[in-house]
Amino acid sequence: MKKTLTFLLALTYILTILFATVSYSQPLPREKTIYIAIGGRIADPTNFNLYAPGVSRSSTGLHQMIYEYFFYINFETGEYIPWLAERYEYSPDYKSITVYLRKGVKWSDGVPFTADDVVFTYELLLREAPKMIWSSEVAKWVESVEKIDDYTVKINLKEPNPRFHLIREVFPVVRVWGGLTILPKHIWEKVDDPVKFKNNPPIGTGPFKLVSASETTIIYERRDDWWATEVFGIRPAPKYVVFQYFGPEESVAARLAANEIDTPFIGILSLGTFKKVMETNPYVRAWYRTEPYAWLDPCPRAFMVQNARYPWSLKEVRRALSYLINREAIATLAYEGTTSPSWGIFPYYGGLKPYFDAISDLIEKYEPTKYDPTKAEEIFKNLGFTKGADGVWVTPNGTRLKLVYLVNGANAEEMKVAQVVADQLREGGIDVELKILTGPTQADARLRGDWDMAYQPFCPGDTDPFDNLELFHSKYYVKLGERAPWYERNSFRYKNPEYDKIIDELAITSPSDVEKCKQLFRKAMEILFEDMPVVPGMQAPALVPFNEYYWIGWPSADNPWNMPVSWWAMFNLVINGYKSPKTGEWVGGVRPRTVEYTTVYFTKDVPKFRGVDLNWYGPYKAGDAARIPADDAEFWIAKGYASFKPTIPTPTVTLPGVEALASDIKDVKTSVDALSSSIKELGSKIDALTGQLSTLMMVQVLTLILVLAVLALYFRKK
Amino acid sequence: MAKKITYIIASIRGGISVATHNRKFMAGLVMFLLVAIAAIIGSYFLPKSYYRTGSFKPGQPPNPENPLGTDTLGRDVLAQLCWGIQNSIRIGVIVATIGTLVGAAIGFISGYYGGVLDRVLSIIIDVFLSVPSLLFLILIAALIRGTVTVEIMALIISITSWAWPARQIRAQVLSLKERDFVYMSKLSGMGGIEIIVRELMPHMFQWMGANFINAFLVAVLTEAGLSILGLGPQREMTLGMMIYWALSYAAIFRGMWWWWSSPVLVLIYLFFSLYVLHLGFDEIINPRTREK
Repeated sequence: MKKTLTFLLALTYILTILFATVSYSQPLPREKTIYIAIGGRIADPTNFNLYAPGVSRSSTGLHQMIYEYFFYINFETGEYIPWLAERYEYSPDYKSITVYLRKGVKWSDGVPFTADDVVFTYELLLREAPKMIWSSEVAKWVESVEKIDDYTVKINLKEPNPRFHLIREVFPVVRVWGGLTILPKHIWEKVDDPVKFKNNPPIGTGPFKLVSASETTIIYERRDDWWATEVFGIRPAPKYVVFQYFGPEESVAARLAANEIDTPFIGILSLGTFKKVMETNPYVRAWYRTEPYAWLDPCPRAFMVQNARYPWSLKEVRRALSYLINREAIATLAYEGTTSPSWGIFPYYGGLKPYFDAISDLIEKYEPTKYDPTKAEEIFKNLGFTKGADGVWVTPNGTRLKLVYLVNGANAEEMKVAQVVADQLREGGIDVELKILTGPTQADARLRGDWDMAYQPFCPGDTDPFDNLELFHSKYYVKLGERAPWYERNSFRYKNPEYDKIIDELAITSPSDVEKCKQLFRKAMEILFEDMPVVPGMQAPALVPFNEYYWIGWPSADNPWNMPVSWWAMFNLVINGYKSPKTGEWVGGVRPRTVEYTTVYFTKDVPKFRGVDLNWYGPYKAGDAARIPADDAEFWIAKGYASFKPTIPTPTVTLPGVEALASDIKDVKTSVDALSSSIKELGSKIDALTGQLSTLMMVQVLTLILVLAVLALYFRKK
Repeated sequence: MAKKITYIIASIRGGISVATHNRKFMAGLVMFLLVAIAAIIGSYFLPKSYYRTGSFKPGQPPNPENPLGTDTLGRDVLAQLCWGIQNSIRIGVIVATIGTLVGAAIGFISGYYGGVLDRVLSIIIDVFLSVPSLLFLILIAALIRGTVTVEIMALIISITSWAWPARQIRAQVLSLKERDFVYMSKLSGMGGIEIIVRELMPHMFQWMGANFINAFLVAVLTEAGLSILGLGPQREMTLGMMIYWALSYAAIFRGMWWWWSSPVLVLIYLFFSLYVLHLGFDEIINPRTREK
C-alpha cells in the first residue's frame, strides 16, 4: 500500500514537471525586443480601460504603445510636437479652440480616426463625469465639442483660457506622464458602462498591438499596418516591446548588468546599486555618464512651511529656516550627488531658460539657496527670540521653537532628506519632531496642514511657468484643519492679494506673448522671493538607467533630443523619433546596435522610407536593387513590393541551349536558396531545442535524485 | 522576621556562589559585560555629534579617524555602534524588568487564588501567547510611528513580554501552594499577599532571574526586527536602526561591509552571550542539567 502511494506521488510529480516544461514558451528574439522593467505587478492584467480607476496606463504600456495623442511636449527642446493633430487655433477671446486633425490616421482595426472619435470621447467624459478618470476636470473646462468636418473639431470652453492646449487632463497633449486619451467611437459607443468595460484587446492608433498579458509580463508586437508607416514612412525598430516585473531592486540590477533589461522605470534602482551595475557593465548608463548621472525630474522639491501658524507665519522666520538649511549637504548626503540646490520651484529645463534669464538679478539679490546660520541667528534675535538653556530658541510668547516636520514614511527620498535637514535645524536651535506617517493618514495630515514643515515636489511647471506660480494663489486657501485642494496647491496656506492680482493677469495672457509673460513672471517671483511662502529645496533627480548593448539612440546629456521616459506616453516618440517643428527634419529614435543588411530587388514603386537603422531610403522604382536593413527587406517582401531574387529580363536573342541553361541556373539558384534558408531554420530550431532540452535534463536529474531519495528512505525504514 | 531576612540573604548568597561556580553563567556574564562596558566607555570618546548627518566624509571605509568607517550620510559607524548598543541594552533592561514584574504579579495572583480569576487571567495569558507577537507589535508600532523614542519602543515591546513569565510562575505556584509550609502559613493566619511575598516569592527568585534574561534576549532581537522594518526610534540609534539605515541605502549590494556587518556582528555576539548566560542560569535552577 505504502509502496503504491510513493510510486503514485513520484509519478504525479514527474508528470507535473513534464507538462510545465512543455508549456514553457520560446523566448522572443533578444536583438529585436526592448525589455522594460516595471516597478510592481499588474493588479488586473485583463483590464485595459485607462479611464477606469486603478488601471495603470504606464506599467501596462497602454499610453506608450497603444494610444497616441494630438501633441507631445519635449521639455528639453521646448517643442510642441504635432502628432495625431496638425495644428490648433484659438478664437480671439480664448473661448474656443479649433483643432485640425491629421489625415490618414487609422485605428488598429483599420477604421479611420476622425473628428467623430474626438467629439464622442469628450461627450462621453462630460456625460460620465466624475466617474471616469479626469472627467471632472473635463466637465470643469469644456462646454461643448463640435465637429466642423471630418478632420476639424471645435472645443468650446466655459471660461476663456489661453492655456487649454497645455492642460493634459482636458486636452490630448502629453506633458508630464500622459494626457487625455481619445477613444475609438466604433468600439466604445456599444459599451454600456465605460467604467466597468475591460477594453480587451485595446484598440488604439499606436505602432504596437497587445500579444499577451499576465500579472508580470505584457508583450507588445509591432504592427506592420501602422498609419505612420504610410503617412511618414517610418517603422519602429524593435519588433517586440515587453513590460515586465522582474522583482525587487537586486534582481533588476542583476538582469540589467546581464543585458536582459534595456531600461527600468524610474525609482527602481537607487544610485549605489546603479553605480555598481555600471561598474560591471559599461553598456549601462544614465542621462550623464558621470556625476550627477540623473536626468532632471519635472517636479523640483521645496520645503513647505505652514504660513497659517505662528511663528512660521512671519516671513522673517521662514527666511531664517532657509538660511539654516545647507542644501549642498543635502545634495551630497541624501541624494549622493545626483542633484543640486534649486532657487525655486521650476525644473532647470532648456525650455524655461528665457524666463530664468529674466530674473537672474533677483536670484542674486535674494540669495534663496544661501546657507548662513549666523544670519538666521540675527533674524531670530531681531525678532526678540531668546535662546533657552537647552540651546533651543524661545519665542517672545515664551514657547519653545518646536517644528513638526511631516514625513511620508513610504518615500525613501523624503526619509533621507528629513534625517539631514532635521539635524541641520536642530543645530540651529530648533526642536524638530519628525512626524512619520504613511498611507491615507499621511496624505490627510498633509492636506489639513497638521505640520510646520513638509518636503514636497512642486509639479509640473515644465515649459510654461504659469502652473507652478498659480499654486500659490489664495483661491486655493482653506482654513487650517480643512483639506487643501492638493499638497502643493497651497496646503501651506499662503495669502497675498497683490500676488493674486499678478497671477490673474497672467492667466488671461497667452503663453505666446512671451514678453508680457516674462514681465509678470518677474513681478510674481519678486514677491515669492520676498515672502518665501515655501523654502526652496532641491532640483529633483530622475535616475533612469539605459542599456546600450542591444539598443542605442536613447536620449542623454550628450544628445538631449528628447526625455528618457519609458513610463510616459512620450516613450512612443522616444522609440520612433519625431519630425521637429523647428527644423522639419526627423530627429531621434531608438535603433539596434547591430543591423543586418541585405540586397533586395523592388518589384513595385516604393516611396521614401526610414529603415530600422533610422536612415532614410528610397524612393525606389520597380526593378531597382538596394542594400537595406534585413528587417525592412522582410517587411517589403511580405507586402509584395520586393523580392530577394532579381527579376530575370527575358532574353531578346534566342541562342540554342541558352534558355535551357538559364532555367537550369535559375533552378540551381532556387534550390541553393531554399537549402540555405532551411539550414538557417534548422539552426534556429536546434538552438531552441537545446534550450528546452537543457531545462528538461535538469528537471529530470532533479526528479531522479528525488525519486532515489524517496526509495532510499523507504528501503532504509524497511 | 530577622530570621526570614537572613534566610533570604543566605539563599541569594548561596545562589551567587552556585552561579560563580557555573562556568557557562560566568562566561556569558563576562562576555555581556565586556561589550556593555566597552560601549559606555566608547560613547565618552565618541559623542552623539559624531553621528549627526554630515559630520564626516560620507561612505568612507575604516580609517584612522573613523575606525569602523562612515555611512553614506557621513555618520561615524563606531559612534553609532556605541550608542546603539547602549540603547538596545536599555530597551532590553526596561522590557525585561516590566515583563518579569508584571508577569510574576499576574502569575502569582492567578496561580495562588485560582477560581474564576485564574480562568480569566489564564485566557488572557493564552491569548497573548498564541497571537504572533511580532505581528501585534508591528501593528502598534506602525500606529504611533514617527514619535517613537527608545523608551516608547521598550514599552511597546513589553506589551507581549509578560505573558511567558506569567505562565511559568503560575505553573510553579500551582504546585508550590499545595506544599505543607503553605498550609502551615495559612493555618497560622497569614493573608494571601503575605504568603505570596514571604513564602512563595523566595522560591521563585531564580525562576524570575531566568525569565529576566530570556525577556532581555527577546527584547533586543524584537527591537532589531521592528527597527529593520522602519518602525524604530528615528532620533536615536539602536542596533536595529543601524541595520535599517544600512539596508535602506543598499549597503550590502554596494559592498559597504563595515556599515552593515558591525551591527549584525554585535547583535549575534549579544545574542550568543545572553544565550550562554541563560543556559548557565538554567543549570543553576535545575540541578539535573548541571555538569557533574
